[in-house]
Amino acid sequence: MKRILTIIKYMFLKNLRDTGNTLLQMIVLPIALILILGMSLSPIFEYRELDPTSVGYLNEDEGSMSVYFDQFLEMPEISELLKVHQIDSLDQGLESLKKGELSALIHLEADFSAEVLSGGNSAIHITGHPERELRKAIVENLVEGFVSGANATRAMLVMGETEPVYAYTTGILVDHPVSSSGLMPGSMDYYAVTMLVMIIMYGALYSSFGMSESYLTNVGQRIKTTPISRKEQYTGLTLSSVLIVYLQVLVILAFTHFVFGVNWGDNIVMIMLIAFVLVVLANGLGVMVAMVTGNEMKSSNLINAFVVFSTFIAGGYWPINLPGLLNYIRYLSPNYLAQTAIFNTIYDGPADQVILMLAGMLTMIIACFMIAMIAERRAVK
Amino acid sequence: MIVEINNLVKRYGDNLAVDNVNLAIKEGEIFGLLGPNGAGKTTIINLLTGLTRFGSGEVKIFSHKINGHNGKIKKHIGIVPQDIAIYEDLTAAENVTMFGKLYGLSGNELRERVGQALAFTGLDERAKEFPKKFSGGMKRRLNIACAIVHQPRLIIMDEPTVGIDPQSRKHILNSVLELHEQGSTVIYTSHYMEEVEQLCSQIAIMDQGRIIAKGTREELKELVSSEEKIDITLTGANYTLVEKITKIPEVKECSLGEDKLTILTAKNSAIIGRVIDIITATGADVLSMEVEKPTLESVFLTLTGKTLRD
Ligand SMILES: Nc1ncnc2c1ncn2[C@@H]1O[C@H](COP(=O)(O)OP(=O)(O)OP(=O)(O)O)[C@@H](O)[C@H]1O
Ligand SMILES: [Mg+2]
Repeated sequence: MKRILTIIKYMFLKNLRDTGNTLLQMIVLPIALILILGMSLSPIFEYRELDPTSVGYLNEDEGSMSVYFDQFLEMPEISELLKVHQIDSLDQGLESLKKGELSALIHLEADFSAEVLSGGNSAIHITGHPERELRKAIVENLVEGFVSGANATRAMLVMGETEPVYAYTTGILVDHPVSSSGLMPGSMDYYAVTMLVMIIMYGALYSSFGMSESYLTNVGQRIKTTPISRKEQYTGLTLSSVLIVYLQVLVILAFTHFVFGVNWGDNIVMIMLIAFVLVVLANGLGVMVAMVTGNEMKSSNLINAFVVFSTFIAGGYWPINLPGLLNYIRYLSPNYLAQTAIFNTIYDGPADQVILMLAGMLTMIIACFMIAMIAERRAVK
Repeated sequence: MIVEINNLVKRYGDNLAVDNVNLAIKEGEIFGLLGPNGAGKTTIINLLTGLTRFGSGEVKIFSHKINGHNGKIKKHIGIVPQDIAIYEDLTAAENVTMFGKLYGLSGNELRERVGQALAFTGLDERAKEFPKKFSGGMKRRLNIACAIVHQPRLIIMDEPTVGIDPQSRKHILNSVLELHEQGSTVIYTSHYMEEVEQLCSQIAIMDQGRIIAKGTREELKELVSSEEKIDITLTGANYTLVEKITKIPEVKECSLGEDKLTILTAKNSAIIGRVIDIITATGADVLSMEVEKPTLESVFLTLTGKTLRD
């Protein structure tokens, strides 16, 4: 135990000293990024309080299922976000769209009910105004919420429920910087979250470097010749990199809140917890990569590449919407899981969404450390 | 015996890095392990300290069989690794303190020992500085300080003088002798034969994973050469001189360069008096003279047919 503390203490000191490179960068860089991105991209996020999006609605369904969609559109949560205009024909709708009176069209085709019940790709068509990407994204997300409900219902039908009830989900709304409460983060609020998450992910570099230097090679080998056990050495190293990255998190949280006035919501403890879990995850990732590659250069290249990718698909640099199935690869991005959990916490999204994301992160943590342990056994020659 | 190595074998793939090595090291000795690059010196040390997984064989330290991690034994061993292993972002004192703590020291004892280790390696005045700013020699000395802070019974030094200035080198060699006087056993690896020759009472010579010779330095030198070489620098020499010297029965060969006379004789033949007489008789003047005795270098050369540093 004493030896673990010794390792933590000196690794910590060492990391603090290494100001020129990492630590300063890890605090100054994200703050600068939040500021720059937040300011320059603010037009995309210009609405703080979202005014309803005007949509044209054409329902040609011959069955009964579309009734549920009508009900869905009338739900208070939805009508706050969508101003629905009934239209008589697609042409009329497209005309209004061109004129800019509408931001999007929702079209249910004649076979809508049949499709839903048969399990086909039920046809809710959304056409967006080409210059109003965000508006279109909002509509798509809301409709997606309905479709997940429809899928659930279909499942119930398959399982023999006679009276299907639609389970509308709204949690998914927070996939985009839109919350079910109708509040939307400003660009600074958005980038404060995504950049914090990104910088935590870069924390993987700390642990991979720490493992290379202080466990696998050089000083690490030397430490192994002292009475400390490998377990103690490993634990000490892991804890010290978690500690140092977490301290950066706290500084960034405080700075963005007090200086930039970023909204971190009412439940700061939850935000800190999510951040902590992500710090541990990033750390596990770094340890894993270090153990698997056994090479500092390779590790840092891999981690850098992964963080860029993971940040990108999570919409960390700018909000993105991937087509179809590709959307699911976002769940492989720790950034995405953490961001979703954080946005849902700040903007009062559903709690189960937060828990789901945390559970995903914990699974990844366990996987990383297990792979690291297996790789380590192999690495000792 | 403080260290006993029996039938130690270690392979890396097809490469037999340590090939059936047997060594016994007595307490209180400075034991030299001499060998060229890749001989297997570091591998043996890593096997002693449990850094490398055993192939086969047996190692006993302090009469305990080494089998995986053993904190109690490690506490009494200090290792100076071949590659400098210190933190550049911790001061000299912090580096030594950290290792002191890992070896189980604390409180006043720790503070005192850190001071002693730094003073011992001549770094006490730079204790608060970062090794980043140190010369290669100073880093090497700090590398040693970290290994001796806990005053271990057994100190293992793996080429501690590679690539450093003569002054630091001298300092390090003196500290090895001093540690020895204080009662520590030292295992010292090197490919500088002068060093090993100067320091070590027992020497093992390694090549390609095998111990090719071991014994005291005298014993080893006995193994080689049956001849000695005498170099004499002189003025006014002529060929009658060469003729006369060649007639001395023990002389095997004599040659004259511009101002240098080289004589090869049988070992311990004590002919110098006679040679000088002949030189003065021919009217030449001796400026300087050098007798070259066999070295470990020549031992190695004889045993393997190659030089230590290639
Ligand atoms: N981790 C390793 N993996 C594979 N081969 C290795 C490894 N470590 C050492 N070897 C091989 O084992 C042999 C002995 O190497 P070792 O480092 O023990 O030599 P050495 O006598 O210490 O040489 P030097 O004077 O260069 O330090 C070499 O052929 C080397 O290539
Ligand atoms: Mg070596």
